[in-house]
Formats: sequence, structure tokens, C-alpha cells
Amino acid sequence: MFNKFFKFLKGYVIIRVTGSDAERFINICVRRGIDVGSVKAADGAFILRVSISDLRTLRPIVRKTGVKIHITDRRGAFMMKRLYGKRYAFFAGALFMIIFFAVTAQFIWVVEIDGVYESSEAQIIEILEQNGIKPGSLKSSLPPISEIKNQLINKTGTVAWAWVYIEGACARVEVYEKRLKPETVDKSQPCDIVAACDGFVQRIDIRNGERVVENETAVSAGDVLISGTVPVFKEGYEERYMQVHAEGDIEAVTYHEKTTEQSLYHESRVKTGREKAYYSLEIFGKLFNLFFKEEPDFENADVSDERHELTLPFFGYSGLCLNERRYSEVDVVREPITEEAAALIAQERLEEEIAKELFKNPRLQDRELEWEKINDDTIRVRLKMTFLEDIGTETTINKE
Amino acid sequence: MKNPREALGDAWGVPKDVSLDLPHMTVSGNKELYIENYKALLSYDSGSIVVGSRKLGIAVTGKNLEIKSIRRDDILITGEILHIEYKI
Repeated sequence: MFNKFFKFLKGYVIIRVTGSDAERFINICVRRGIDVGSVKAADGAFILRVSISDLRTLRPIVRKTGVKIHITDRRGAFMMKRLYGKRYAFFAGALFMIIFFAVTAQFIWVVEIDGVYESSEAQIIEILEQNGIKPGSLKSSLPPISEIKNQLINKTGTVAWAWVYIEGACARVEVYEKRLKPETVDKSQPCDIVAACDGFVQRIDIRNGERVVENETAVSAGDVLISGTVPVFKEGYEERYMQVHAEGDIEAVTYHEKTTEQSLYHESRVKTGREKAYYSLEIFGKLFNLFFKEEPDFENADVSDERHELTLPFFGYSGLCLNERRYSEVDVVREPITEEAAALIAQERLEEEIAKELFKNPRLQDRELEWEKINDDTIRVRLKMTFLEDIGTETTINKE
Repeated sequence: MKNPREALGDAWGVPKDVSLDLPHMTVSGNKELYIENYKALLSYDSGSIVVGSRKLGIAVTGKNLEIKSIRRDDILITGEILHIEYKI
């Protein structure tokens, strides 16, 4: 690697050696300490690399061996200087760019925060800004990262660990949130167990409280199933009650029904091959659209976004980024499907909706799917599902 | 019967390439051949290279053979080496 670099700096020429004593020519060159390399044989001639400084010393060897040499190419820094030596504007521009990137790389232009799910992102941004982690701030003026980490942990209360990685002009904040403890039930609080929805109670196992509903009884939403008010008196004595935190398992049959409409056509998107890309330039966090109008004349299109960040050696992310939004034209193909297939598609959707309404420990008992045709294009699908589930929910007792 | 140089070298535990002035070759698969202690390049074309040493000739045949570097004492041959032959 370094060897190549120094050879480039010194400059070298590619020569073509022809003649019957070409091997002898190479041997003499080597014995006289001339740096010869990359020897290739082509069409009865040798093509080899010799440094520019050794070029003059070849003349006596050429005369001695009777070969003919022909310079085919000149390469290296020497040649670059000869080619570009007078292009002052080019060098000035290159120098300006180096200085520009060297200066801009000293600032933070983009702040990325990863790992925030439950915590307040606004609060984290505020803490970061207070500590200078914001676009336009000088990297050298930042406080120690451990200090920022401590502030993020102490001030938010939900962050377990955080760190700021400075990658070129980008400050990447990595946040790890605490795992919050599950809510514990306060068993000192008296409560009733009531039905969360209509159902047919099959069995109630009471751990605490007084049974209100017998087994094999139909209940409506809101009906008390296990009462937290327990009588504590003997017959013939004054009525006295104590209030407890009712607990128990309720097994009830519940019925869930959902209806939806489903098309009798399946739509698939097939790419036509026509694409159009629109670019926007992100310069130090500010977005500049390179197109006035960003609407392709496609009737239907899929959209994909891609970022091309300019990363420079030594500096890292330069703060310049090219955003690409690519529109791919698609043909929406409508294919007719059978009513059964359409009903199955709708069933999947309805099951998802019903699943959201279920309570504790649901077990499917029965499922009934029926549909009717509304018109040539659509059917109405009805799904009835029967579950065995725990419909009991705790309700605080009003102490009055 | 052993050559006196060889016998002396063996007695002192000197490697053969040193005691007999033999070429020392390092072959990397069929892609690269590094020869030390050679004397001269005898013939070369893209299909074969013959390198001479003090006592041996080494003929290398293959495809797209290239002399990557050549110095006074060592030569590096690259390409697709198919055959290495000694010529005594």
C-alpha cells in the first residue's frame, strides 16, 4: 500500500520493450538496481513499469541489448502536476471544499435519537439542547458525555442508560428505557367483581367476597358477580357487613358478532417498469427540494424512500445528504374471486376486530360465518364467535 | 556421495538453500509464486516463464502469467500457475 503510494509520488512510466533480448534487458535493469515491476508479455513485447528517475539510465542498456523501448503511459504525482498544475481554480475549489468540510465537521448538524418508546421525546430533546446537543452547536464546546447521560437518566426517570455518539456532523443519541414494573393490585381497596359484558355464567370460583350470581345464569354488563360486601353476623343478631377486595374466576359464555362488507374482486399491484425519482438535498439538517413538482403522472404508484449520506474520510458524516423518493408505476389488476374466498378474507379481518374485545383467558367454543350478496361486486359477511372467558372486572365499592 | 558443501551444511544444520545456494520458492495455491535466490530471467511470455538459478532452471507454465515484481534476489510471479518444472 505504502510502497504503491511512494511509487505514485515519485512517478513512473509504462514502457513497451521489443526485441529478441528483452529478457536480458530486464536482467541487466534488475542487476543495476533499476526498479522494474508489473512485467507483462503481450504480442511479443514486454510491457513494464519503470520509475521516472530511472528512465535515463535505461539508454545504455537499450544500446547494449539492442531492444527498442517505447513509452506508452506516464503516471504518478509528477504527471498529475503536469496535467493539473495550471488549473488554479480547480485547486482553489478543492482547497475550499477541504476547508469547508473541515470547518463544518466541527459542528453538529443532525441529531438522531434512537430507542425512545415510552419516554417523552420532547423532554429528551430539551435536555439535549440544554447540553448543547442541537444542530449548529460546536462539538468542542460540548460538556462530557457522561454528564449528559446522567442528566438524561435523572431528569426523565424513565431512561436506564443513554449515550451520545458523535459521528461526523451527526450526534446519535442512544437511549435505553427502564422496564417499568407491572401494576400491582392494591388488595386493601374494597371492590366488587362485575360483568364486563353480557354473557352466560357457567361457573364462579370465589377466592374472596360473597357470591351474588349462581352458576348457569345469564348476566348483563355491569351486573355484580362477586360482591365485596360480606355479611359478618349470625342470624338473629344485628346486621353487620365488612367490605373486602373481591377476588375470583368467572367462566362465562360470551357471544361476539361482527359484520363487514367485502369486495368480490382481489386487487394486486403489478409493476410496469416505469419509475420516476425525485431528489431533495438535506444540508445541515435543512431540506431543499430539487424539484418544484413532485407528482409523477402515474395513476397508481408505489413509493420508496432512500437516503444517501455523504461521508468523508477523517470527518465522518458531512452534514450533506441526498434524499431519493422513487415512484414505481403499478397496474392495479382486479381479479374476480369466489364468494367463499372473499368471505375467508373478511373472516380474518373480523377475527382481528373481535380479538380486541376479548377479556381474560378466552377459549373459542364455536364460530359461525355467513354471508349474503349485496350486489355483483360486494358481499356482506357476518361472523359470530362464541367464547368461554373470564368476564369479571374489578369495580371499586362506593363506601356510602 | 554428498557434495562437501552439502555435507558440511548438514553437519551444521544449515538449510539447503543456503548451503547449496538453491532457489527458495513459496507457492500460494496456483495464484502466486515467489522465488528467492534466483539468478536471471531466461525467457518469458504470458504462457511460460523460465527462471535460472545457480544449478537449476525453473520453468513455470500457466495462463496470464505476470511478473509482479522483479529484484536482484527475488521475483514474484502471479497468474494462473498450472505447472512448475525443474530443469537440471
